[in-house]
Amino acid sequence: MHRLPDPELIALARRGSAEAAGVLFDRYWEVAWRASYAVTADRELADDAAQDAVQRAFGALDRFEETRPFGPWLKRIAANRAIDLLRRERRLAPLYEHATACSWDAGAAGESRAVAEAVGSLDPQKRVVVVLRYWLDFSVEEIAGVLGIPVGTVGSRLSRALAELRIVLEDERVV
Amino acid sequence: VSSDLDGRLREASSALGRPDRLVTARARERAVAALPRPNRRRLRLLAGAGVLAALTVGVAAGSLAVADRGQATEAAGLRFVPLEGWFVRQTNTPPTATRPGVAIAANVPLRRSDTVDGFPYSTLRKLPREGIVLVASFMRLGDTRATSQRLPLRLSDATPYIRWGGQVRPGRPLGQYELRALVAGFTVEVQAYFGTSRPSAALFAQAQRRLDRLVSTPEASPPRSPARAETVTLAFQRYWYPPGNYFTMRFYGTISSGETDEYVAVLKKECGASFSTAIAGATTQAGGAWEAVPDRPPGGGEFRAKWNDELSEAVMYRPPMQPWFEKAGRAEFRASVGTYTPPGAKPQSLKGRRIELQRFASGQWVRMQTAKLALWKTGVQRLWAATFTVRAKGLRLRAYVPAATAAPCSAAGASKPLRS
Repeated sequence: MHRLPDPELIALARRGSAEAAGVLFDRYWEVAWRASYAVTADRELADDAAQDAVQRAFGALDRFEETRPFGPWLKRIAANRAIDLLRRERRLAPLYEHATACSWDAGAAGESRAVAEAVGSLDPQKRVVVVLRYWLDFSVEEIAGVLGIPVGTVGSRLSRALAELRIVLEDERVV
Repeated sequence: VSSDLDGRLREASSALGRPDRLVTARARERAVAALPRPNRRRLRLLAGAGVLAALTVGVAAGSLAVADRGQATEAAGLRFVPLEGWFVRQTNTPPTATRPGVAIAANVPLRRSDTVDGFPYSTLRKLPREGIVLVASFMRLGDTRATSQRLPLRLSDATPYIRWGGQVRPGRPLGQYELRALVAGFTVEVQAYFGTSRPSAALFAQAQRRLDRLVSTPEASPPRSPARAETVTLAFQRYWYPPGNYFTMRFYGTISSGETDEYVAVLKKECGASFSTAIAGATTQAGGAWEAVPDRPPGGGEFRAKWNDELSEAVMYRPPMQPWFEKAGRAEFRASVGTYTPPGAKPQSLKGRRIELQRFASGQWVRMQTAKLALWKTGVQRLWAATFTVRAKGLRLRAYVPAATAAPCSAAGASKPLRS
């Protein structure tokens, strides 16, 4: 079962195989969780968002097109759910009520950690745009779609975020 | 932005931690428990067939109205004609003895998976409190002994009814009503669903307005007049799409022939571009009306409908500019605005154009200073900025881009306010 490709696991899971669903879950759960954590920068919110995402994705398996890759689909559901939760928590509110820097519970040391921390120090609106673009590979248009803002605003947030990151990382001699 | 920073950013995602084991175990349980039950869809279809069979038997037993023979020979089906703020999905072919015609109307966008061949389950599961979904199914039946009813149907005749013996959404019950009638030779069954189990009078009135536009369509399309010029029209409506949390647009219009099943494409030309691309399409319904919603929010640009070789008049939508206003020094404030150049479009230059600093006084925004924009940064988009000096403290300030500066691609817009 563990060696079966995704489409076969999906077909079995659709027919009710809990074992196939379990293998599929083991293969992609971390992807979903990390997408949620990247967006929320909050472990508790990420736990909720990722659990909701896998529940929704597995519940909608009968509508999933097997020709598409499962991982990116799940990742998108997780990112969308995380954004919804952030909105509900008003952490994406435009007046920056929650503009305190987040601290990633980073698992690695060194430069990657420094960069991740610099991303985490951005205000939430900029951080989410950077994370969606660079960590989750959303296009600028897709980011505009999920955040409900114009493409131009995504571009300006991205530009400003990158400018800030550049200053911070140059100070720390990372770039 | 250097590619070095790009690369470092992408690598940095590996620095994120991992999920907790307890959370993982809980998520696993939830995922497996959420698997679609293999027989659920089949049961749903069987239940649907059961309802139709029961309906047929009921009619044969004389529980419904007699067919109006005169109308029966004229009508090919029932359709919802377009109505502002409503979304419609309906069968394009007349009903047969085994396959009913279906017309679905909703005041929220219908989910992609909800086709006329099934039950709008996905839309109903997510139906907001103010949401309404009307599902009208109709079949042509033989002689019956009751009298016929005329359109429009009255929702006040409907009775609370839980279809197939189960609530669609047990967690947050819907208001579910059923109305049966015999109209224009068809046995009609209308299921009305409301996002709340106790719909208000206003919601009922809204549903009735939609039901008023359920019409019977003629058997054959009217002959086309060769002398009449072929035209197609396009208009649009912006609306908030709650599931996606964004504004999008609904395009609608008519074709002059009034024919059904004609394909109309919606074309968009980006501001400054020399070509158009298709962003949505639809087939015409009763009276030649059409409506289409693009897959993603289309943003600003010039829109036209295309039907065969005919193009509609161009309709422009210019989104408001969204300047950014921030503190840049002790008494300095920077106002900046971005211009994004879509592929194939000519870059828009704001060099030398004016941007205003406004302050809030006596209940309104008044101009305080004006400055000329200059290119500040280039990247994913070009940023144009101007600096203002304000020494007074406690003023409520904002940046404002006048219409002349924003033209031709955008409309005037203001930043979020800031206190000096």
